Amino acid sequence: MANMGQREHDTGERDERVETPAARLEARPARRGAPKDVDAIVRTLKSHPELKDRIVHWSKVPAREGKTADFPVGLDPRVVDVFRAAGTTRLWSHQARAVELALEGRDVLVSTPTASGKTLCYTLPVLQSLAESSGAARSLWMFPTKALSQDQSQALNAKIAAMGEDWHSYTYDGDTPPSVRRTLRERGHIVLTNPWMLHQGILPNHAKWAELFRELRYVVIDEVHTLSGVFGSSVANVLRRLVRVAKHYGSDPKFLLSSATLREPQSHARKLLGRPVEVVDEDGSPAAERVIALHNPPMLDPVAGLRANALEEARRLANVCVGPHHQTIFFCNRRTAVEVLTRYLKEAAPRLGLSPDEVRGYRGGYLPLLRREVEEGLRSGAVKVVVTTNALELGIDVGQLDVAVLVGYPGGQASFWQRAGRVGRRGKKSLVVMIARSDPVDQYVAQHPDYLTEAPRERIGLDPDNLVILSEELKCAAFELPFHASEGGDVADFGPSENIAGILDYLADELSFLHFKDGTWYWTADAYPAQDVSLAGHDPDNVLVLDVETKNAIGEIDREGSIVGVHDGAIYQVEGETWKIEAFDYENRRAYAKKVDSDYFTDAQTDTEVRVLRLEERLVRWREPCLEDHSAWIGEVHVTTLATQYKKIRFYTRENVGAEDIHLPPEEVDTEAFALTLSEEAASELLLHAGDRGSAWHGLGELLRRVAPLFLRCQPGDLGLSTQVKSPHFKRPTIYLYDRVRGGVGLARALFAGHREVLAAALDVLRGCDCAKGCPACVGPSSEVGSEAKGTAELVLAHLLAEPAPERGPVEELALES
Amino acid sequence: MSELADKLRRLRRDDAPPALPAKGPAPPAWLRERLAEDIGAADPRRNVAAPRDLEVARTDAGAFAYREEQFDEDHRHGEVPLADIDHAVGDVLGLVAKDSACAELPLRDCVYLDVETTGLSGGAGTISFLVALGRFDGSAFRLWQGFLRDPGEEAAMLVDVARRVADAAGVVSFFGKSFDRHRLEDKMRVFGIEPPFGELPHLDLYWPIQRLYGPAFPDGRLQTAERELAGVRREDDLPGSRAPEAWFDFLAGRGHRLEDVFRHNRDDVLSLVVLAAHVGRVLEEGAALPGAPGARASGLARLFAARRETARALDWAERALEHGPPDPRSLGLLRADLLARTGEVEGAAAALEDLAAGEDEVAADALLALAKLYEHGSNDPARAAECCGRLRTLSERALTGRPYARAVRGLAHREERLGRKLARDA
Repeated sequence: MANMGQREHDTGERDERVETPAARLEARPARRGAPKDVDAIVRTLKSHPELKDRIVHWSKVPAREGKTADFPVGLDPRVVDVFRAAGTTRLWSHQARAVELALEGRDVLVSTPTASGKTLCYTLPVLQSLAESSGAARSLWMFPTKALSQDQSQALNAKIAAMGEDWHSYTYDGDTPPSVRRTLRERGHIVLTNPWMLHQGILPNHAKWAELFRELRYVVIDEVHTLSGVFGSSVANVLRRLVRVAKHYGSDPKFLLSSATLREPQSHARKLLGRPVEVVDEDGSPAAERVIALHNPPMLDPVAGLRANALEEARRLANVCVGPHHQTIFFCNRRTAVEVLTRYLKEAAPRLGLSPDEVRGYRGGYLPLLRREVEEGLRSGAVKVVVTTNALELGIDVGQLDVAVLVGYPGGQASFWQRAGRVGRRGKKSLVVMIARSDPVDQYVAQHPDYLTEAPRERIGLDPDNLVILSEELKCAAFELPFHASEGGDVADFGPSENIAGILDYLADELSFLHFKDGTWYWTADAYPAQDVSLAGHDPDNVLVLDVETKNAIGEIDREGSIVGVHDGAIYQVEGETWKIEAFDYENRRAYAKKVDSDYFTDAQTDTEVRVLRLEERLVRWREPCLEDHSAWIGEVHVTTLATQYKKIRFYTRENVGAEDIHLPPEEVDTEAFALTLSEEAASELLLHAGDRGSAWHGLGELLRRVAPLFLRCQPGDLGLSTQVKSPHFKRPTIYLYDRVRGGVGLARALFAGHREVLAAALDVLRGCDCAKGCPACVGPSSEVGSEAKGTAELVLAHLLAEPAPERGPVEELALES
Repeated sequence: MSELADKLRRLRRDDAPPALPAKGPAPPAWLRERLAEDIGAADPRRNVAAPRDLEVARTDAGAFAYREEQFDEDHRHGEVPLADIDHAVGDVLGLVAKDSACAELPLRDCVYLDVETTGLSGGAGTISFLVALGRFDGSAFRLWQGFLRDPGEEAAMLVDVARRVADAAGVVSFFGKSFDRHRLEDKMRVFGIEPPFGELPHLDLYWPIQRLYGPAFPDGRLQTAERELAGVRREDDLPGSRAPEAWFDFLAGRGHRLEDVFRHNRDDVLSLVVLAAHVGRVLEEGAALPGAPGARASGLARLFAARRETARALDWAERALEHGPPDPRSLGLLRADLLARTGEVEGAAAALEDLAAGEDEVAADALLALAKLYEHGSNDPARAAECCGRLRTLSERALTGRPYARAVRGLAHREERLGRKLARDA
C-alpha cells in the first residue's frame, strides 16, 4: 500500500450526496476574500520563534492524480445513465474493480481511506441487482457506527427516482414508527439498519421479513474496521445468524464491506464472515497535498517528567493556525477540553481577526438544533473555527476545512485519519497538526511520523468463538431456527468452532433453553433471548452509574471494572465530565454519583493474581541448548483482582494528592493472556535483582500495556496487567497482559503475534523520552517506579529485542529450576 | 464434553449461586405458586403420561397428534346452549365489530380458534404447541385440538391448521386478530405454508366486548366476559400463562399438567361460541340478556352515533340513562350532541348547561359544545362568547391546563372570531 494520504472530498464523495437538481444548484456561498494559503501558515510556523522548535517533524503526503476507469461492462445502461447524468462519467479505478468483483458474485471488502467514494462501490451492484431482477432483489445495509442517516436513504431513493423505478429504500431503526415498519418489510428493496436492530428486531422476527430474506442478494456493511472486540465478535455471530436465516429462505447473499485501511483486511473479513473475500485496497481517487506537523510540547521539568500542557499548546498554535480567511478545526479527546478551548478562542477572537460568533464548540450533549446550526455554519463558511471531539469524526457533512489541530493522538489510526480527513479542499493543500501529550503512545507517534503515513499497523482483536459470546449468540440463533446435527454429530452452519454441539447440549441439559430430539435442538423456553443478549457484552452484573440527584443513568461499567472504577470516592468520568461516586451499592449493582468539578482523577491500586489454566503456544530464545533466556506465551488464565486502595491524582501534573482504602470483594475472570517470562539467568544479568527490581519490572509492564494500542485496535483499558518478579507458575519474572473480556476476544493472541513490535515501540519511547528517570510518558514517574526503573527497563527491552528472535518452543517443558 | 460444560459453567457464571440478591420486583404470583407447589408433595394433577385420547395424523410434512371431541349443540357451556349461536344476528355482529364483513359471517361455518403458545413475546422461537379449532357439523360442535408431541411436528400440524382454516367461512377468536393469528401466520411463513387468514372474515370478540362492557367489567379477560355474560365457572383452571411450562415439563419427561392445558384450551373455544351468540343478540327485544345493561346500552348508543344513526343512538342513550350507565356524564355529552344533530337545539343546550356546571373534562367539553351550538345553531355570538369565557375560567382554575387541553385547543381563535362578529353586529 503506497500511502494513507487523505483524499480530496469532491471526488468519490460526490456520488454520495443527494443529487436532486435543486441540490446541485446550491453552490457554496462566496467566501470573504481568498482563503489563507496553507503554505503561508506553514511558513509562519517554521519561522515562529516559539513554535518552530516545538514542531519536531514535518511530513508531506504528496498530491496524487486520480486513476479512472470505465463503468464495468455488464452494468445495466439504465444504472450507468443515472450516474452519468449526475456528472459521474468515469469511476475511480478501485470503484470499478470493486463493482466488477461484486458483479462476478464475489464477496468484496473495499479498504480505502475516508472519502474515497466507497458508497458507490455498493450502490452500483445493488441497483444493478434491482435492474436485473425487475425489482425483485433485496439488500440489507448495515451501519455499525453512526446513527442512521436519512441522507443515505434519500440519496438512494433519488437515484432510483432518476431511473424512473418504483423501488424503495428505507431506514429501519428504533425511531421507525410501527405503521411504517409493515410497508418497509413488504416493500423495502433496500433496508438500511444497524446491528442492534438486526439482532433484536429483524432476525428474531424473520417470518415478518420473509420477503426480504427470500430475495436477499447483498448484505452491505459499512466501517467494518469498527467491528472489533466484544462488539465485533458479537456482530460476527449476528452475521452467522443472518446467513442461516437467509439460507432457510433459499437465498445466498453476497457481502459488500467497506472499511478504513486495515493492516490485515483479508484476515479481518474472514474472521467476520467465516469465508474469504476479495480485498480492494488500491485507492484510485485523487489526493491533494497534505502537510502533517507533529508538535511535541517542551519538557518543563525533566526530573518530574512534566511537559507543557497540550491544551495550552493548542492555544498557542491558534495564534498562527486560526484566521478570518480559512477554517480551522480543533479535535480534543475530552468534552471539558472542548469547553475550555472554545472559551479561550472566543476571548481571543478579536485579536485573531474574528468575531466571537465565528468560533464555535461542537460535541455530544449539545442540543440537535445547536449542532445543526454549527454544521450549517461550517458548510457555508460562516464558522471559521470549530472545537470538537470525535462527534465530528464521522458521518456528518460539514464540507472540507483547511487546517486541523489534533490535541492529542486520538488512540487509533482510523480515528486519526478520519479527523485529518476533515481538511483538504479540492485541489488545495491542507495542514494537520497533532499535539503530542505526555503519554507513551503520543510520544511514539511524535517520534515516528511514518507510523501515521505508512501502511496501517494495528491488528484487530476479534474472536466470534469466544465461549461466552458464542453461547449467548447460539441462544439467539436457536430461537430463530432449530439446529441440526450432521451424521457425525457436529453442527456445520455456525462457524468453525468444534464446540457448537457441546454448547447446544449444555444449553439444553443444564439451562433448559433447548430441547434435543432426533438430532435437532429446538428452542423451548418462554423467552426472547435477543432481548437479554447485548452486542456490547453488557450483562446483568454490570453496574449502573446513576446521578444521585436525578437517579438518571449516566453510565454503565462492567463487573470487573466496577471495583476500580466506581468504588466509594472514585472520580467517574463521562465524556470528560467528572462525577464523584458517593456510594457504591455493590449488591444491587448501582453506583450513585454526584457531578463535581474535580481537578484530580482517581487511580485504584489492585492486587491481581493470575493463575495459569492452560498454555497454548510459546516462543522461546535459548541462551544455550536447554538454557532458556526468555519466552513469550499465549494461554488461558484465571485472574483474581482485589482493589486495595486508590490514589487521587491531579490532572495534567499527575501529582499525587492523597490515598484511601477500598473495601470490596475480589473479582474473578477466566480469560486469555499473553505472558512474557525472563529466565533467572537473564534477570540477574540485567540487574533485575538489584534494588527496585519489582517496580521497574512493573513499570515496564505498564509501558507495554500503554503502547500496545499502537499495534492492536483497542484502548489501554481493554488489557489487564499483572507482573510478578517470581511467578508461582513460571517461577521467574513474568508480565501478564490479559484480555479483560471473559474468555477473551483475541487481544492476547494478537499481542502474542505482534509482541516484538510492541517491545520495539516501548524501547523507542524510552530512548526518545527527555525525562531524567521516568515520567508519565514512559515507565511512569520515578516517584512511583523508583529511580532505576527507566534504565532497567531500557536494558531489559534492548536485551529482549536483540537477535535472535525467539522461536516456537515446547509448551509443556518449562525447564524450571529443579 | 463435560470439560466443555465445566468451562461454560465457569465462564458464563451459570453455576454461581446468585451471589447477588435478585434485582427488581418480587416474582409474579404464578411463579411463587409454582415454586411453592414444587416444594410440596407430588401434585396429583401432574402426570408423566402423554395426554389422553391422542390420535396421530400423518401428512406429507410428517406426523402430529390431535384430539377430537364432540359436543351436542344443546350442550350448555355455563348457562348457554351452543345452539344459541343461531340467535346471533349478522347485522348486529357487523355493528359491534365495526366490520361489515362480520355481518355476513355464517357462524355455523366458522372455525372457533384458540392457540396455546410457548410465550407471549412472538418471534420465530415462539411455538404454538396446541391449536384448537372448533366447528359446527350438523347438530354437533366438533372440537379439534392439534398438539405437538415434540417441536419437530410443528410444520405438519400447521399444514393441517392452514387447510382447516382455509376451508372455513370465517374465524372467531378472542384477541386473535392481534395475537393467535400472527403466531400461526409467522410460523407458517417460516415453513413456507401459505397463511389462510388473508381475506377471511375474522370476528375478534375482544373488541366488541370492550365496546359494550369495557367500563363495567373489572378487566378485559375472556374469563371475566364468559363469567358475566354466559355464567361460565371454571374449576381448577390452569391459567394460560402456565401453559408453556406444562409443555416444557412434558417434553422433558417431567410430571406435567398438560391435561389441564387441553381443558383450558377447550373451555376457551366453547366460550367463543357462547360469547359470539351473546354479542350477536344484543339488539334482540325482550331477550333477558345477562351482563351490565347500562354499559351495553351506552356502548350501543356510541356505536350507532359513530354510524350517524342518530335516532337509534338517541334511543339507546335514553335507555342507558334509565339503567344508570357506568359513565353518565360523558354519555350525557353524547346525548346532547345527538339532540343537537336532530335539531333539538333547546334540549341540547339545556343538557349541556347541566353538564357545564361541573368541574371536569366533561364540563369543559360541554362548554365548548355550547359555544359551538350558540354560535352556529342559534346564531347567538354573545352567549357563545360567554361560554368561551367560562371555559377559559375553568381551564385557568385548574392547576395545569392539561386536562382541558382538548377543549381549550383553538379557543383563542374562536374567541377572536366571536369578537369580530360581536363588533360587526354592534
